[in-house]
Amino acid sequence: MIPKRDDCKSIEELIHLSLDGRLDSEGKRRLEKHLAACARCTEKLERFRAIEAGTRSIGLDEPPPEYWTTFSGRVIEKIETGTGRKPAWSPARAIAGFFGAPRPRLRLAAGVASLAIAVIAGALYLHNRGGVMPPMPARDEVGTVSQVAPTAEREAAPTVEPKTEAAEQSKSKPAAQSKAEPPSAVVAERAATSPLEPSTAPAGEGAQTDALASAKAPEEALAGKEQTPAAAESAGIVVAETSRDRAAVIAERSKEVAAIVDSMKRMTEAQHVSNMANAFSEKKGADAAMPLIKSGSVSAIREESYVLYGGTVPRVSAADTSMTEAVLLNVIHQWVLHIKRNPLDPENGEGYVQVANAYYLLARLTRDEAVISQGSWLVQEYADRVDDPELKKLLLDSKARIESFRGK
Amino acid sequence: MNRAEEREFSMDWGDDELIRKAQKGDLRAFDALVRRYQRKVYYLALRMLKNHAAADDVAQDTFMNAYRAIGTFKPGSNFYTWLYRICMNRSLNYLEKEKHIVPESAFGEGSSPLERASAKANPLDDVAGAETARRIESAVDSLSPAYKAVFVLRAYEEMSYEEIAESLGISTGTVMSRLFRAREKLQEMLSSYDTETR
Repeated sequence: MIPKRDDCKSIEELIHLSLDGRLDSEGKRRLEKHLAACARCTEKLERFRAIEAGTRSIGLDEPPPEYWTTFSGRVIEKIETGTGRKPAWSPARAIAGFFGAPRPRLRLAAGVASLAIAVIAGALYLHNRGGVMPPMPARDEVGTVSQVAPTAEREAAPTVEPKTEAAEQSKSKPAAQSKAEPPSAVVAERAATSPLEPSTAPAGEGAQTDALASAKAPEEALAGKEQTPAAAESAGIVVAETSRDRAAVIAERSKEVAAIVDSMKRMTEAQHVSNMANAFSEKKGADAAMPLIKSGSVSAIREESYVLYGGTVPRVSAADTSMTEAVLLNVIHQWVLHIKRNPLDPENGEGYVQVANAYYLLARLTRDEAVISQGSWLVQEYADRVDDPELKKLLLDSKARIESFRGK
Repeated sequence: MNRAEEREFSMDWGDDELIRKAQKGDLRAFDALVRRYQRKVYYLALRMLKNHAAADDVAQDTFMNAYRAIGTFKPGSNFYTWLYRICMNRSLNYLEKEKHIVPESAFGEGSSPLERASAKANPLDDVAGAETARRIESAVDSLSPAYKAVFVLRAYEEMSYEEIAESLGISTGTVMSRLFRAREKLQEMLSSYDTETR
C-alpha cells in the first residue's frame, strides 16, 4: 500500500530526528514501517544523508602554523592595548571621543580604519598647517600630546580662528604680550610653507630650508634658547598659536575625520577605501591620488616598486631621502590595506618592512607625535606576527628608530 | 613567564580554574583559554564567513569580547558554547554588514553529482564526490544566516539541539524548525540543480 501524502508529512519530523539520532524506539518503529512502503520518503532520507555526509567531508584550508602560534599573542596584545597602556593622542582616539567607546565588534576593523584615517588626517594636517600648526606640541605646558585636551573639551572648543587671522594677530602683538604667554605656549612655524612642498625660502634670510630643520625650531624656543617671538620672526619664523588654539584645531580636524568615518561605516570596505582616496585627492590635489588595492595578493615585485592590484608603490629604503610625505603616506596606506585584507599573504613580510621604513622616514621628516605613536604601535604589531628572528629584529630595530624621533 | 609559571598555565588546567583566574584579571589564564579554543572559534567563523581575513577578525574579536565579559560568565556553564555564542553573533553581524564577502551560489554549472550519489551513504565515494562537496558547500553558503548558523553548528560542530540553542540564544524548538527547514532548502536547491542539468 502506498502511503498518502499526509502520512509523509507527518513522518518528516521523524526523518530529521533520525538524522540527528534523536529518535526513540517508538519513533524508529513508525519510521521504518513508513519507509518500507514509501520510496519517496526513503529517497528523501537518503538524500539528506548524502547532503550531511557531503557537508562533513568539506575541508577548510589550514592556516600556516605561525598563525596559531601568534594568535593568542595578538589577542592579549589588543586586550592590553585597550585596557592598559594609554597611548599618546592619535586620530583614532580623537574619533573614539566623538563616537563614544568603539563598539567591540568594530574594534579590529576600526583599528585598521583608524590607521588609514591617521594617514589621511596626517596628510590633511600637514597640508593645512602651513603657517599655523607646529610640528611638535608645546610639551612643557601640556605634558604629552594626549593631554592636550580631553575629548569633551575638544568637542566644546571654539572654532579655530582663520589661520591667516591667527598669524596676523601673532605678528601684530608686541613682544610684551607674547611674553605673557608661557614659553611653552609659543610655538613657531615657518610661515606659509607647506611641508609637503619644497622650501623656496632663501637661506640668507635665516629661513629653515628643510622640514627637518623647521621641525627643530619650536623646540629651540621651548628649550629656553632665548628664541623670542621677535627673534623668531626675524629668522623667518612666525609665532603662530597657543596650545588652546592647538586644541581647537585638533577638535576641528577630529570632527572632519569623524565625519569621514561616519560615512565609511555605512559603506562596504571597498567603497570606503575608494572614498578615503577621493577625500585625500580632493584635499591634496591630483598628485597625491592614491591608487587602490582591491583585493588579492601582490601581483608582482619589481626592482624599484611593488604592484599591488591596480596600484604601484615605490620600494622604500630607510636610507632614502628623496621621498615626500605624500609618497610615504601612500606607501603606508596601500601596504596596510593589503596586509589587512590578505593576512596570510607570504609577501606580507616585505610589506611589514616597507611600512616600517616608510614610518621611519615619515617620522624623521615630520617629528609628529601622532605619526611616531602610530608607526611604533603598528611596527610592533607586525613584529609580533612574525616568527623569523631576523625579520622580527629588523622590525623591532625600525620601531626603535621611529621612536628615537620622539621629543626631538 | 618562567617555567614554573608556564606549567601553572599549561593546557592541563581545567576551564573552570582558568576562567576563575581570568575573572580576576589574570591574562595568562585567559591566554591559555584562547590557545585552547582558538582553532574551534576560528574555524567556526571561517565556516560562516568563508573568508580568512573576516574569520580572523571575528575570531580575535570574539576573544576580546569574551575577556571583557568574562566576569559575567557563570561558573559551571559550558564555556565553549558561551564562546560560540559570541562568535556566532559576531559572524552574523559580519554577514549582515558585509554581505559581499559571502561567495555567490555556484548553482547553474557543472555536472549532477548528487543524483549519482543519492543512492550512496557517502557521496564522496566516487569521482564526483569533490564536485558534490563543492555544490553542497555553495548551497550551505546560500542559506540565510539564521538557517546557516543552525546548520553549521549541527553538521560541522555536531552540537546537540540544546547546545545549539544555548549558542544562539534561541529555543530548542526554534533550533529544530530552522534545522529541518535548512535541510529542506538544501535539498530543494540541489534538486533544482539536478533538474536543470538533466
